[in-house]
Amino acid sequence: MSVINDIEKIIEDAKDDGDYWERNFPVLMSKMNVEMNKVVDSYRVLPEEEKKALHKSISNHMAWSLLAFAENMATYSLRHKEQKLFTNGLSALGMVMGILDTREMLLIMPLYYDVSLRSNLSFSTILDQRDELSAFVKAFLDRDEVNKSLKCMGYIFTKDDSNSPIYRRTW
Amino acid sequence: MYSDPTGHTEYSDPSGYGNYYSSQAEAKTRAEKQAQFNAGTNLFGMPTADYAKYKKANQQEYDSSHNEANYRPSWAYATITSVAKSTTQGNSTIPSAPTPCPTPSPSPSTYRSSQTTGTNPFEDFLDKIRNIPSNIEYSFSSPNRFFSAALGGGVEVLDNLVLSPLAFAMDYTVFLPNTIQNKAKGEENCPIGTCSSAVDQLMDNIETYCVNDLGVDQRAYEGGESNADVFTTTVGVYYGIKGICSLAESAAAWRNARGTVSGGVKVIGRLEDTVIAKDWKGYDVLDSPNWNMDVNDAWVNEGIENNQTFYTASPMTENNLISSNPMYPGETVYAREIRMLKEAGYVQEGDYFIPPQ
Repeated sequence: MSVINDIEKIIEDAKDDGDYWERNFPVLMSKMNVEMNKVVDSYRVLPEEEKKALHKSISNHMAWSLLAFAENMATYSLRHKEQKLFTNGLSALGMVMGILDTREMLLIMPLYYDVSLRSNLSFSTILDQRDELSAFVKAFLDRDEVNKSLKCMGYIFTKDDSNSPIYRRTW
Repeated sequence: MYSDPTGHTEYSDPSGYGNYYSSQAEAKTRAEKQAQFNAGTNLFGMPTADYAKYKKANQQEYDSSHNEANYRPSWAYATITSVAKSTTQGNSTIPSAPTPCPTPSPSPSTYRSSQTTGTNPFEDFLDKIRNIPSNIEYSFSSPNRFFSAALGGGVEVLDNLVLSPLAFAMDYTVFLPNTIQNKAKGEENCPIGTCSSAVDQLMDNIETYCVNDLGVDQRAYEGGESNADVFTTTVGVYYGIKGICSLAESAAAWRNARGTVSGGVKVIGRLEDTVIAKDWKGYDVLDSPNWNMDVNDAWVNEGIENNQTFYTASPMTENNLISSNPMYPGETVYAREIRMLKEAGYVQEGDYFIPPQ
């Protein structure tokens, strides 16, 4: 259960150093996001059985942190054009499946779809997993364009103060 | 003793106990109730899976007991919020108890008393009924005398249902049957409050199995008929005793009738939780492969514009309503739905949101 312990520690550390309350997207990823990427990396390579066992230990509080991470990684994957960030963000969504309302996950999906349109980043790694997350992602990708748009989930694509691309909510 | 406008007479609880029970707010948490339901035994410990077999074996008796001619004299007790036990006692004629009945020994932990107003409880009850918003339907399976009399001209009869404005304006309502028996223990039919083991068992089970809404507690519905159908709502606890009427059955009918009469009840909540209502007749679940925020908002607004009732399929807990992470702040989709209803003037009644008048 080191993944769970690691997430807990990341959250606690982020509270101590202030990352936890940071809503902006600095050019450099926060320590929290960097560390969370490492944890999701290690989660992704776990055997399916271990993933399932671990999933049961993810608290609601952790799930919200993972969802925040997923939202953040959409923006950072676009900025850095980095497939790993893209895949890790989606994997974090997989970690909260069944814990949070599926609709909360759906809200994030257009960000990733938009990233895929604006870059060469792809869903293929996730889709190849052939698991619950891949089914969820595939169902989303099967939608018509309007229902995959940022607008339909209340997001816009814009630039922040440093002229870096960013996805922002309109609600 | 109280007489309704038709001359039908009602009695207060002879023991001074049993009329007063907690509402849902005092009951166990929804999650616990759900877990107990999932455990799969009925009110009297019968495994839910065995019920079909049980019911078949008892069909003849079941049919007989649902014959009007076999009905006991209606409901003996109707106690509402703000009615003191002492007041009830002071105005009552206590019916004599059949023998043999055990000595009453109600447990204080299972009975709860309410606050006093010093008013006549039956008149108070009728007043509350008269003042209930007309857009709320309610039903009982057989047009039983107490309710049909008490409801007067507001009653609509739909097949074997009595639909009427009723009940939800009351904070705390308890309808008790006049008699109860615990067949499993070989007891006689006894006035409630005197037949202690059956009553105690019921009360214990109310604590354990009260339901989340006015829908049927499946445990009661599927297995409770050996002695009683029991379910509670946020406004009260209802006992349907075999041979008098089956309230659990009526609740299922109520659910259907309510949806039919009011144009459908919209079901809000977590996607995973609303699935349960997909097969409920008259209930509208947003089940779209293209779900998005705009679609959701439009669907909720449609219900608001049509004055439809909303049912909350998920508990309104902090976990379900707000993100706990400041990097992902704000309300959840479910909270957004509830906010829209509140902003439109909806009032929460238990697990339902009722449109403004």
